[in-house]
Amino acid sequence: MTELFGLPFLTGLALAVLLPIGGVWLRLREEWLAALAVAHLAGAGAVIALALSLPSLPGALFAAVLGMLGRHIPGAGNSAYGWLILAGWATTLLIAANSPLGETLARQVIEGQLYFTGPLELGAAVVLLGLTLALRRRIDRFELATRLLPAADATERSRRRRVALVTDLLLAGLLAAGTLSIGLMATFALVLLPAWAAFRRSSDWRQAGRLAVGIGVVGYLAAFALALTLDQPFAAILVATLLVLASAVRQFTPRGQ
Amino acid sequence: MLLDLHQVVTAPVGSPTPRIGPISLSVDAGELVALTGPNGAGKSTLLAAITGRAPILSGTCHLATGTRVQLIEQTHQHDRDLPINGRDFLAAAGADSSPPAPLTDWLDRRLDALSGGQRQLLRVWAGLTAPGQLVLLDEPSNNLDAAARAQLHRLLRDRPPHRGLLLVSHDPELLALDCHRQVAMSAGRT
Repeated sequence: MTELFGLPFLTGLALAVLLPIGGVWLRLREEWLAALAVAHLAGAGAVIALALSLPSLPGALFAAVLGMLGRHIPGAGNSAYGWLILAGWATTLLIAANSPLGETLARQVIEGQLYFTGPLELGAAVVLLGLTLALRRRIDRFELATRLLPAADATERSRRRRVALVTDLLLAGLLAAGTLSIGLMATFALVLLPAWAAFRRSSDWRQAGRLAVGIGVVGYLAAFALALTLDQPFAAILVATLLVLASAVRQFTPRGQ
Repeated sequence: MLLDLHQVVTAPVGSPTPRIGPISLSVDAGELVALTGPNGAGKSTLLAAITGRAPILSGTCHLATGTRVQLIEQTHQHDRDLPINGRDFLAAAGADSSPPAPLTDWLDRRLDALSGGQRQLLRVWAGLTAPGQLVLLDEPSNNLDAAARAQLHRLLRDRPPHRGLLLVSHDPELLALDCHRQVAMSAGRT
């Protein structure tokens, strides 16, 4: 059992730490919808790559990077993310309907395939974990400054743009890895829900990060056990668990002061 | 000279018609220069032009080499519903994390649990102590009660000595501070 599920478990655990961290950055930017848009694009990229007999990870990553960089187009905002969600969804389903293994592939992207992940996915998650932990403090500072003091001078704006680009690339990596491993909606749930609860219940920024990661990890561990015990699809159980857990934290714990 | 504006004509971002200027003024290290004028005169747009966020259509805006600018805007709607306390805010700004009382009492509270006046004073402190030689303050006394205004006056009076300060204000009490110069804008001109 441990041999069978060891790698998938560790891959999912790394993502349960990483995606909530990405979630607090995206929520700080008020761009959490980007997670759903980029996850859709990553899914479409993976399906296109597989349809072309190419590996799915580079395809998903390439599409996710394009999606994250789209935010730098003047005037892009939530409407653009809505557009990308629809484009990614339509592309995925159309390719699925017109390629030999399409339907299976599309279902894997949408529903996740954590139990079938191996060393490649775990390696990608570990690399992303190392990068995120190494860059987190610097990204935090620049993202906070951009949100709280947007009227920076030219020198500072240029510095912020560079850090924002690095953050975007990192987020693209997180979302692509998440979409390929645990599926599109589970990825979105790990980005959206822990940060949603943590922002309301935390007294400071560090506490918000810790609480978001805590919710992500506890939700993941509970979902992993429940899905195996009840023989249910993991992604759906994870989304349901996070919905309950994050709502409970938001509703029944004291508001941050 | 930290800042030297010579016959600058600018316009609000996105506006096709130049309507502000020509304006000339200067701020040297250690100086406090007040910029006054009625609503709509273009004072905030001029500050945006100095930080490069509004176009300079003609004239010259010269900042001394290596000068960094801190601009504290009128609005502070950027901190709603965020798990950020005063300490986080000062750290993000790169400001001195040991402000005078009573600002110290607010450092461990979320910004959205503070009053507008308390947030404004923290923002002014951040602007005055964050890295930068030139500080632009846009109507810092707006919506402050008497006690907060008195605190604002103390912060400005005790500001770091070598910074240049360009202060936009209608507030006669604030303008009565020892400003080195007052520059009046009217219908987009000085």
